[in-house]
Amino acid sequence: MANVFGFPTAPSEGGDYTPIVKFDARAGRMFRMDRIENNGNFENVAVDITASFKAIFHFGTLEAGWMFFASGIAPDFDLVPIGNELPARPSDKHKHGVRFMIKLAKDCAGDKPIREMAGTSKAFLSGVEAVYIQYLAEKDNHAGKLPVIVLEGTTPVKSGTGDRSSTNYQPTFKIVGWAPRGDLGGVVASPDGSPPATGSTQVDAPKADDTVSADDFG
Amino acid sequence: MTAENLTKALRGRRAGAGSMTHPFNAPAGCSDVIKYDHHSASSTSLFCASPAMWVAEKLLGLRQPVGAPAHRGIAIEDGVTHGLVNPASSLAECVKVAVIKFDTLMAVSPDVRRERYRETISSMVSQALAELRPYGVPSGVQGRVEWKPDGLRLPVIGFYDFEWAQHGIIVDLKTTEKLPPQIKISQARQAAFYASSDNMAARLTYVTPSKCETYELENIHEHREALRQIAMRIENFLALSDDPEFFKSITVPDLESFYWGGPTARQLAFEHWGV
Repeated sequence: MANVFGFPTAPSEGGDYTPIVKFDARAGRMFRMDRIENNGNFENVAVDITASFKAIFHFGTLEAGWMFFASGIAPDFDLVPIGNELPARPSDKHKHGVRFMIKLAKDCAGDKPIREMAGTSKAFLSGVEAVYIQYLAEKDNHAGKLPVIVLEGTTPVKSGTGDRSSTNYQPTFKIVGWAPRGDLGGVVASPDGSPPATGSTQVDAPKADDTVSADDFG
Repeated sequence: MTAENLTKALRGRRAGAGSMTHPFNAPAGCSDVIKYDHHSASSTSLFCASPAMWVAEKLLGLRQPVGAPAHRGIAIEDGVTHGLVNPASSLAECVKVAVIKFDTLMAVSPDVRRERYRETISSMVSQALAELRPYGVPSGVQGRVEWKPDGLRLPVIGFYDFEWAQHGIIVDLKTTEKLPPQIKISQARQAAFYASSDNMAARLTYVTPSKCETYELENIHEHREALRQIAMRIENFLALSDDPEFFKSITVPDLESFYWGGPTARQLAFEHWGV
């Protein structure tokens, strides 16, 4: 309800918050970020899901462009659906990055399986690039489905020299199956601004050995 | 005057029938209070297609009779459901379930298309079962789905036809005379809403007297958002007044449209809207 100031003063219910999963390239760990309410205040709690990470990657929502992450402020994104011309770099603090939606498997999902994943580290981007290329090569054999991906491991990647050297960990993602597309959120505008198609792809009944059990994903 | 009413209503003061320049009479059978307490996919589609018919059915309580095509759809769904949940049942048994249902629903219907539609039931049940039995036994049939997204005062409620949780797929069965080349937009919204129950993939199976095809629904999120957008418009519309009669003053039937083509609807338009 609007008050005398002309805008709401009640605490946010957090309804518009899109939960996230992030890969910490410096530690080589995958974290599910849970938003926990404590007496009306929300705090973010990082839950390490490196060992159990398994998710449907909705590469149809993949966006690329510029991102700026800094502690204490909301991240800033200037992205376009992949395949489009990248926008101009908003500032020299913005880095190249990608963002897409995933659905975590029950074993690692917490109470919010559908999440956003984004990152700018070279290690993260290289890991995503490798599995995205594999996805593009195989997707036509799995019409209407999305890849189910696990984090098979990480590879240390050193950069710099001397005091300026550092080690990041590149994730190795592996496609272990394919699952029905479903709805993983993340509205991506069509490149030409046209309204969404309804679907004209004729499909057969699913083959038992082709589909990852939907039970894994609640 | 109507514009004035709208302005008042949009300022928070709800208009009433008494504020109309030429109040309509209140024909017998009309509801005098609005009982619209939830949205459905079909309601939102009707609102888009014919706001006046939506007013007649949802606010005045004047439900229009349905004919042989709709009754055949229900009957075929019953026969197919029987065949899916009882995989050992014979086709003849499933067809019998459908025909009995059709005859029951059509018992007092004056629709002259009765026999023509009845004759197609066997073929349509057969084709639909051939299409859907390979999915296995469904984990759910006629499952209730309720969705209350941000921005809506009322929930959206509906019932999907078939769910295969083992495949993560919901299928809605549509009976039609002609196979569409793609999923119809209103049906895309409906299936997208059903898929919200547990983040499922959604498919629509269209069966005609001679063909049957299943299409994969694309852009589920966008179509469900479209449903929400329409429902929001309905709630904005309803906010104009508590009085069902008021809504006759701001809508008018299109007598050339499918919705007002039948003699009952035509009479309704004349009695309630004076057209």
